[in-house]
Order: sequence, then C-alpha cells, then structure tokens
Amino acid sequence: MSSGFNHSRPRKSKFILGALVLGAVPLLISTFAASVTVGNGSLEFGQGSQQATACDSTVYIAMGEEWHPSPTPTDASNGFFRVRAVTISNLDLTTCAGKKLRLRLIDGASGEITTGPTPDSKVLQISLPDQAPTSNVSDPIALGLSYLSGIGAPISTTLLATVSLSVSGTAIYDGTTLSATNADATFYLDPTAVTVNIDGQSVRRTTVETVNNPKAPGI
Amino acid sequence: MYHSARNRTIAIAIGGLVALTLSAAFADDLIPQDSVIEAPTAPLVESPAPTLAPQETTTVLAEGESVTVAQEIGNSPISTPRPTPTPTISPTPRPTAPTDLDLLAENETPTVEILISPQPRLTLHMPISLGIDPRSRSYLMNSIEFWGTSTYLACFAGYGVGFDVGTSGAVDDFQNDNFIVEGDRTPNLKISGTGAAIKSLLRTPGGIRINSASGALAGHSLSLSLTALTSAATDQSYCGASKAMSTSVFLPLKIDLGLVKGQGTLKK
Repeated sequence: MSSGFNHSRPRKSKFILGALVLGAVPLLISTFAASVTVGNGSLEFGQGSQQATACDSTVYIAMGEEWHPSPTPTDASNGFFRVRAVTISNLDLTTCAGKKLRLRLIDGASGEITTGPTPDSKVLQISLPDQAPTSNVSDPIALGLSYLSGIGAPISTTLLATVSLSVSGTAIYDGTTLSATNADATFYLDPTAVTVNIDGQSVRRTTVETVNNPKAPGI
Repeated sequence: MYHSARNRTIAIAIGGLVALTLSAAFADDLIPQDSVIEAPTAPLVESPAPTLAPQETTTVLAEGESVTVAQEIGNSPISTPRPTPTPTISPTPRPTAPTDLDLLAENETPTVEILISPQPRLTLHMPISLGIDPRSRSYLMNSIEFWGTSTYLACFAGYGVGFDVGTSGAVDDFQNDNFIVEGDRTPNLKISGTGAAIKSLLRTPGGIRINSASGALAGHSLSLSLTALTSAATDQSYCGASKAMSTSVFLPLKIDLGLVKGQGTLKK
C-alpha cells in the first residue's frame, strides 16, 4: 500500500531538478553571449573587463551624464540623465601614436546604440596624433573625428560630436594628473543636447578599439 | 460489620469537623482582623505610592518615556488592565514641566527658526544606477539635478564610499554665513547654502568625486537628501526632516577592449 510520502519524494526530486535547470539558464545565456562577434570579425565581445591587446594594456572608461529635461503636460519635471560624454582614460599616447581609436556603446540587449545623427552611426572614431601632443587638443578635424557604421564603414553626415584629447589637468576617471602616457580622450556626443540624447540607463557596455592606421604610400 | 464500619466513618467525620472549627477559632484570635480582608495583591499596589517621593517621580519620568510606555501598552496584544502605571505617569510630567520644557525649548528654538515647516515640494533627480568601469575606484559625479531658489541643506550619505568636493584629495570644509561645507572626504558630506551655490560647487571641474572606501566602486551606493532651510546650517537632524531624497547605485559596465587590424585589399 502506498502512502502520500511515497509520492512526495519523486515530486521533491523533480522540483530540485527543475530548480537546477532553471538556475543553469543564466549561465548558458552568458556563455553564449561571450561568443558574440560584432563588426568585421576582428573584435571579440567578452563578459566583464578585458585587457587591451594592442597599444595600451590598461585603459579605463568613465561616462558622464547630465539631466535632459523632457517635460510632459502632467509632469513638468520629467526628464532623464543623458550621456553627455564618454572618456577613455589612462591612454598612452606614445605607444598608441598614429592609431585610430573607436568607441561603441552597447545596450542591455547587446545592440549598438546610435551615437550620431543618422541611425547607422554606431561608432565614434578619432585618429591619435603621430607624435604625442604636449598640450590638450580639441580640434575635431585635427583628430579626425568621424562616425562609422557598425561594420566600420565611414559615414558622411553632420558632425554633432566634439572631442578632447587631454594631456594636462586631472583625469576624469580617477583624478590623477594627466600626461602623454596617462591621457584622456573624451567624446562629447552632442554638446547641444538637441539630437543625440542617449539615456544613461540604457548603456550597459562600452567597447574601445584601437585600429592600425596605415598611411597611404608616399605619405 | 457493615453498620460498625459506617458508624466509624461518621465518627471520624464529626471529629474532623470539630477539630477544624477549633483551629479556626484559635487562628481568628491570633491574626489581625483586616489582613484577612485584603487581597493578596493589595500590598503591591499600595507600597510604591508611599515610597515614591514627588521629586523622584518627576526626575525619572520624562515626557518621552511616558509616550513610549503608552505606545507599548497600546501595541500590546494582551490588554491586561494595569491601572497603576497610567495614573502614576500621567500626572507626574506636569510638575517637571517647568525645568524640562525650558531645556527642550532652548534646544528646539534654532530648529523652529531654521527648518522650514512644512517642507516645500522639492524635485530632486539622480540616476538610479551609475554606469562605471568595473575597475573604477572613484567617480566624478555631475548627474544631480534639483530646482529651487531657497536655502538648502544637501546631505550626502555614502555606503562604502566617501565624498570629496573642491580640491581633490584635500579637506575643503568651509563655513561662512551663507555657505557651509562639512564632512569633506568622509561618507557623510553636508553642504548648505542657496540652491545655486550648491549646484555651482557640484558642477565645478573638481565637482564631487566619490571614492570607494575599499576595492571597486561597483555595488556601492550613495544617497542625497535636500532639506529647505531659512538659513545655512548643517545640523544632522535637519537631514532627517527632508522630503526629497534620492539614491544611486554604482553599476559595473561591461567593457570590451580590442584590436582591429587594418583591412587589406585582396589582389585581383
């Protein structure tokens, strides 16, 4: 004769098994996410932080936000904190001289966030000077500031962003003294805050890439 | 047999009754009359009254304590009648009132003058989460927004973090009639002044830097409350009177760093 206990043990086992399976789902998802490849195949996405493999072994990211009002008829104080600037800190301009520096912002669904005036503007790029500068540079033309598509194709459009390459002053990231080997490259997405207004809460990942910048023959 | 046993039982019973009557009469003669009438709890009720002198009562029982007792009684699941505390407590604070109230009045006078009551409606915005480099140990915070032209007390409280305003790495505590900075480079920073002055300090290039007490910032948090005052002050009790409070948590961004080689052109 079977009792209620005889039935409850298998049920308990099934429950534990089910819980284990459910618990393993996030692990599986993160494992798959780690193997996502975006761009032209050279960039690997990883979970958490990684060391740079190219010109600088340790660069840091600091994201600055500011209030963006967006009043509604029922709430005059409505708004959100937009991404004002993204700074790549502790950049060694001597070892990275002449390289291209790219920045992407990724949302929680691993989608690239539009950082320019056109929907395909996914990447902000500058060309680092061939010689490490001795003073701060904020000329977007001199630094070759431009938008790229997700696959790295140049986009010809109005430039809303500005940039600053700082070798003197204090670092945004940690307040240390800036130098040519501890420089800040700050991308201001849209200082007018008219067109590019990214909600800071939507940014979940940033990507920094250095790209070899071969000169055309004869230059 | 049956009758003799029955008679013996009756005899024993009668004898017992006689003995009981005699002993009761004997006890009645020895013990005072009123002690039998009093209830066993009576001495517990009556004894404190004569022993407590008026001075002792007034010193011990402050107004705050009487409130606590009342709450405890009110919240007690068993509402056993306890008549003794209530009459004892309620009249006693009155005699003490002159001295205690004088002290309270002295302490509370500045509160009444400086703290605006009721607090006006304030809108304070801070991001719920602050995306940071997972390795970051400090963060330059600019994302604080509030509106108002009054004088405020901004109370920053750090949970695993400390605050550094003004010159980085230096204690910039400051005080004049209109502006006070107290607790720089501690987890409890207070800035008091006009809304414009507070904003100005928070938005200088140095701004307000948040430093981790140990390890990375990720996972730590901070809160900010704003209290409207009539003049600059940093009394900690004003922080608790705030109706506008916001909290932010440091959330680690996922960072990818990579190298892209230059694109070569295939030979046709």
